[in-house]
Amino acid sequence: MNKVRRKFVIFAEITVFVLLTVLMSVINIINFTMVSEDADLITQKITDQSIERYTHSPDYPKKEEKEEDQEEKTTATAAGIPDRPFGGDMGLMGPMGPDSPEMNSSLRYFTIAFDKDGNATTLSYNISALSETEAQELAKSLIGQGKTGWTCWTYRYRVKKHDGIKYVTVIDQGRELLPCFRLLYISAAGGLVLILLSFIILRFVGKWLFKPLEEADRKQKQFIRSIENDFRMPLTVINANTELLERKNGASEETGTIDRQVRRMTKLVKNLSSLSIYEEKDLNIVRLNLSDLMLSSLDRKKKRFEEKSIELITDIEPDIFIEADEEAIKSAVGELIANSLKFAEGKAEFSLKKNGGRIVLTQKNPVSLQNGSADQVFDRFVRLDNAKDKDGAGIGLSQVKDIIKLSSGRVGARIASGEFILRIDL
Amino acid sequence: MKILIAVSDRDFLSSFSRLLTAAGYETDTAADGARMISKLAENRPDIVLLERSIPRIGSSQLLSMLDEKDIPSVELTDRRIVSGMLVEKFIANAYLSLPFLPYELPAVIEDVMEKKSSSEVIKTGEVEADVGKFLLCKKQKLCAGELDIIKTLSKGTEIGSERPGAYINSLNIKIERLNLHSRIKYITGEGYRLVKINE
Repeated sequence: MNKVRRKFVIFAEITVFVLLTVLMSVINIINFTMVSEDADLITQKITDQSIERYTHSPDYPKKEEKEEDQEEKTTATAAGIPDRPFGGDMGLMGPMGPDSPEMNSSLRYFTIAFDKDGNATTLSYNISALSETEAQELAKSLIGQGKTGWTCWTYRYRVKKHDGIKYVTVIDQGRELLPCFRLLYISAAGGLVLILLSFIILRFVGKWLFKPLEEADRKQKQFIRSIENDFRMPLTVINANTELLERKNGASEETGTIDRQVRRMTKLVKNLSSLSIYEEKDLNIVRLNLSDLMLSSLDRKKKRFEEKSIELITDIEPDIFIEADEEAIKSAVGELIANSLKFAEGKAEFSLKKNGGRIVLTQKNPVSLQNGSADQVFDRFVRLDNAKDKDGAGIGLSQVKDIIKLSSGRVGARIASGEFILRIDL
Repeated sequence: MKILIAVSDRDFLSSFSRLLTAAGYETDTAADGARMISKLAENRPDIVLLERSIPRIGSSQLLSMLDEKDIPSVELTDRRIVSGMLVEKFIANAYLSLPFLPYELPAVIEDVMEKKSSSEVIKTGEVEADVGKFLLCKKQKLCAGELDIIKTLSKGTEIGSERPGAYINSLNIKIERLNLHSRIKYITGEGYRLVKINE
């Protein structure tokens, strides 16, 4: 039960960690993305506005031939820098959005146009961190990156080609990014604290939650142990007195019945002993030759298989050693063989092999059951449909599972193509 | 033959006392360790049937006492026989797990007494077992089950008992304690054999 509790706590801790990490990541990604999208919207607006103004300005390269228009256009846009790139309508986001009239005074940006010869013309310049020359150099380097828009440090830029002229608009997002980074740090720190707190709480809650289960498990084992212990002596005494009765009065149907039922109870008690006896502190771990054990156990039962007309096929790799409780593993192997003898229809296969770093023990036999998982055979007192007319209480394979789990192994069973396949990984 | 039955359950004492008496044995009983000691002093038995979990005085202490007095013993245990109990400092001459059938007890008693009176010494490879003294290479104590295994190994026949595992494992531990270069190993097609290490 300790192992179950630890698994639950670890699983819960991992879940909390993953969920919090995903949540914080998503929030921050959305936040950064939205800031970038806002910046893209602004750069687009600025670029479009700049193109519109520049194409009508006297400095525009294509308009050199039309001298009659030059004077008029020059007057209109003498500075070549738009005063108000934003119109009066504030758009969807209102005073917080890119269409806000406040944007003009709060935004730091510049727009540079490059003609075919690479000559730069500053169309708008509203930034303090860079000189005009530095701005032009930065814009030139951004063109060289080959992208139509992206982020460069705290700047967001857009490159647009129109009429053979490349327009580079750069806005400074520093102030907009600052709250994003703050949110990132706060969410990371907060997330870490939450994760740590959750770990601590889960450990205490785990203990508290599992206490009743652990208590129930302990009592169940204690109960089984006491049944097992308390039944052993009385069964022996009943046996002895049945014998005495028979000596005194001769054998009778009654004493025969007592004898048979006592033998039955003796078998059940011996099976019950394995349900509770295997706790970690009871284990006597030794280096065990599992191959030898399998071979000797199967050899011993060879005649029984022959008597039941079951073809026994074995594929046991030699000298496979494991560290385990000897009696426990022997009990498990014995149960597998007994199970096979009881249920195999015509054929039984046992194989023991090394597979990578693990040892795989497989038992297969034909059965008349539907395909699917058969893991329920490892539950106590559960028997498959084909066991209804056979002796047994359905605890043999549950013992096998308990033993294998204590040896840090795994068990699984399935029915496929008319075969019952049981696999143990150690 | 005088049998002292030292078991805490009074019904067991009564039943088996009668059974064994009917089978021709002389019996005496003790319901706890202290009574057993006083009975030993009053009337030396030929063999003691001792419950592993007998109250008042631990069975290991009682076994050491019996060993000192050279009185053979059969230990009744309420759990399966495991190699751990066979490699303790003081062990019984034979073990019987509860529950058992009535005929099993006299069979075990007779087997122990027969071995006790034997002067046979079994030698196989490096391993030497003195049957009468229940000793391995004159140093390690053996029980009846282990002696049977050694005897079978010396003859090269298949080990017949249903679950020899505990005895084989305990024998391997004792062989290792004696620094012998042998082990009991399972050979496919041949069964358990005493082999040299690295074979």
